[in-house]
Amino acid sequence: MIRLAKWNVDAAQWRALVRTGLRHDLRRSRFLSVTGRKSVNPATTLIFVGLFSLLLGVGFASFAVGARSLALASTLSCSSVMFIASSLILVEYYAIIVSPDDFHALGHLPMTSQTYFMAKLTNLLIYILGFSSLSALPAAIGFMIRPPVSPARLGVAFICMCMGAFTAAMSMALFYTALTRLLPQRALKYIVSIVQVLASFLIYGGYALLPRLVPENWMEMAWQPKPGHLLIPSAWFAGLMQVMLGDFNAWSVSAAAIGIVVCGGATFYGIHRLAKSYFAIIAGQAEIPVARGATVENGAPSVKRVRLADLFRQSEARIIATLLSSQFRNDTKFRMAILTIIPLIAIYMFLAVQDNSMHDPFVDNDITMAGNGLVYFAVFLIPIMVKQSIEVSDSFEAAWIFFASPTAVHRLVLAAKRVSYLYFVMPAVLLVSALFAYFFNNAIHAALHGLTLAALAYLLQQFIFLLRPTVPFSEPRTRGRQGAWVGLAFIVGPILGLLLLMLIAKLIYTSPQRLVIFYVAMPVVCIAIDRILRWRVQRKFS
Amino acid sequence: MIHIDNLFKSYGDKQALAGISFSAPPGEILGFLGPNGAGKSTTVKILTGLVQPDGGSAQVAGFDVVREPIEVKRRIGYVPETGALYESLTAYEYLELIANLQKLDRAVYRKRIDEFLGLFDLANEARHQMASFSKGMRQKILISAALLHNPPVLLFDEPLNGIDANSALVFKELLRKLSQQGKTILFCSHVLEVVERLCTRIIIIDKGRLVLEGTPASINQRTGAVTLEQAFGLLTGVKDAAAQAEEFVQALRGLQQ
Repeated sequence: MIRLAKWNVDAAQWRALVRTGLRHDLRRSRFLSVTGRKSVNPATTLIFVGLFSLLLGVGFASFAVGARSLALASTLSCSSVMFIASSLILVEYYAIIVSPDDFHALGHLPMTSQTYFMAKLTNLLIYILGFSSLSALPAAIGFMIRPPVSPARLGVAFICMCMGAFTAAMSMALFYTALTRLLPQRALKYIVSIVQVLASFLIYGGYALLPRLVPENWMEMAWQPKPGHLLIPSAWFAGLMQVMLGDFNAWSVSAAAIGIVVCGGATFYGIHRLAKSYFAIIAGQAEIPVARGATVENGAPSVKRVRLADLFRQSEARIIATLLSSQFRNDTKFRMAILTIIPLIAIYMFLAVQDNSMHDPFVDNDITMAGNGLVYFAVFLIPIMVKQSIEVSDSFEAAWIFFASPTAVHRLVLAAKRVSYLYFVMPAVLLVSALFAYFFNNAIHAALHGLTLAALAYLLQQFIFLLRPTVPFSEPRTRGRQGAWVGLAFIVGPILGLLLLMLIAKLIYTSPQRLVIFYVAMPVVCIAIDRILRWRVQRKFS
Repeated sequence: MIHIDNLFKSYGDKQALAGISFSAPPGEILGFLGPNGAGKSTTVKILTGLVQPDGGSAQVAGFDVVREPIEVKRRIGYVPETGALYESLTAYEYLELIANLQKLDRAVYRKRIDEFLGLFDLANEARHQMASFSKGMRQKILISAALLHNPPVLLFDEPLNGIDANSALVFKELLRKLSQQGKTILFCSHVLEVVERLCTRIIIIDKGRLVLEGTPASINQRTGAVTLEQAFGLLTGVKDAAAQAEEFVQALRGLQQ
């Protein structure tokens, strides 16, 4: 507590703020959405993300147990846990610190900028370190039981992986906050969007590419890290682990030193520099919508803009198209959620192309088709991730208008399905079909396979809407929700991408008769599910 | 107690405040009026430290809002126009949070919270989450939060929003008693009848500039109006209300045809 006072942080206020922040997050389940129903319970989503993190940790434990080289085992484990921490920040938790939703309620109260900053940072770290440590624990157990069994390794590995997660979370949170401080407010929206895409490339790309740096016989080889590996952040904490386990060499000591300096430096910079100006940064952020409104008001449009919404004949579809476009322009959290999807898709496609492993499933239906699987996975991620993004909004209360106007609410829900499919899924399917055409050397096969993919993505989207028929942007954001959906996408995506399409290739594509039946049956199934969905949505909202 | 000197503030291209100056001594209920977008909320937000001014200075209870924001915040009670509060907390928990942030002693704030909730007929709702509260109930909680630490300066931005007639009556009496105790009260409202009856002095602003200030009677006298409502219309350039309403009706007729 003495330290807190030294940093100009009031301990009592900090405690009150952290306690309130957690209470607020966990109780949002009891919020009534505009529809009068309870929203998703955040405890459920947090438990789901926790279990998902634990499950991933069990996978990470295989590195700890399997790799003969301790350096390699520790680098892979630290990478994995740091990936969990960074992707959680990227997907959802950056908002706690970059755009806190309680500034308008608390900004006039007598607390220092440092107190408010520390409360927000604590709130963020509780989640990130909570989930990261759930991933780190099985991996740490893996380190303990790798021969010779050593209980001391459990603690050392756990601490080093958590330090890595802390550094990753802290650096990212501070980076985003520093951006809002350094950039001119008018350009902030665009630059932060670009940074979000770049950061997604770096994190998802780095994680997807890391296994390619490791040779196939990684379990058996005596891997020796090179000086170049010191550029990989996870290697710093792997080095620290080695040093703490008594393996002193030039590389491990250098890596450990860099890790400690970066971790300490990020903490120091956060507390001493950013914390002081945090209040002013957030106050400046709060002014942006007003400034933007002023600019729109003053700039008279000279040319009539072509709007995508005008392409739709049905008024409900036009409403949804307009809402999606304006939310993307003005709601930073929605824009960031959508922009995070692009690198994910691009990376999986890049990996498939780079390996030159895209196979025509009409010809090679016996192979594992790893490259195809990556592309299918990427396409199936989209409907899941988009659905979660269009459910929630900070201005969810504005959805009352749909229930107080003569609009048929069920049609809005169905329109949301159609418009989001056209806006987000179709472009990806077209792009993938173009890739098929290039790799298959058979335009008909590419078109047919693209059609199968489009139909399956449509079916997946219908099932998601069947499970959760919600009016767009009508529910409050709750902590853990986005992370839970991303976790779900990473479970459902591979199942559909790898199993279902492989089965289709094996069982359907091999026979022309079955193929004809399949392409006749697919629209029938789609229409049937559409009818069921229509019935369910109508029942729910009438 | 409140002293504003040549205050400027712009949002992008739009100038919200263009050199506004005024003062409010202890014991005064100062009505702060202006049409939508005149700069009232920006002025109040500058006084609370939520917004930084581009130029000029503002002091509350002798402290500069830019240089000594914490000292200012200790001495103000603020009811925001937006009614922003933590809806997931219970009324008691929210007031307890405010008391903790205001560094009040536990025994003091517990007694005070119970008293305030009782006075506003919210004692039975104290342990309920505010998400289920009506607008008026939330407003009562915000007023209680503003008064909890007994500040010398009170900033009320549309405090009567959604409050029922009986509670409004109590609130107006409360303001009179607080001003008699020497508290400075800045009262922003669009309900001009209330402002006319309650405030000892009125300031009218438009487009970020001070248009006129004085007692309700002197403003009426200087504008040649019978009521404050009339004077306000004359000063802020509002067209003839009847003619404007007629234009709306004509537009609706056009829609029907």
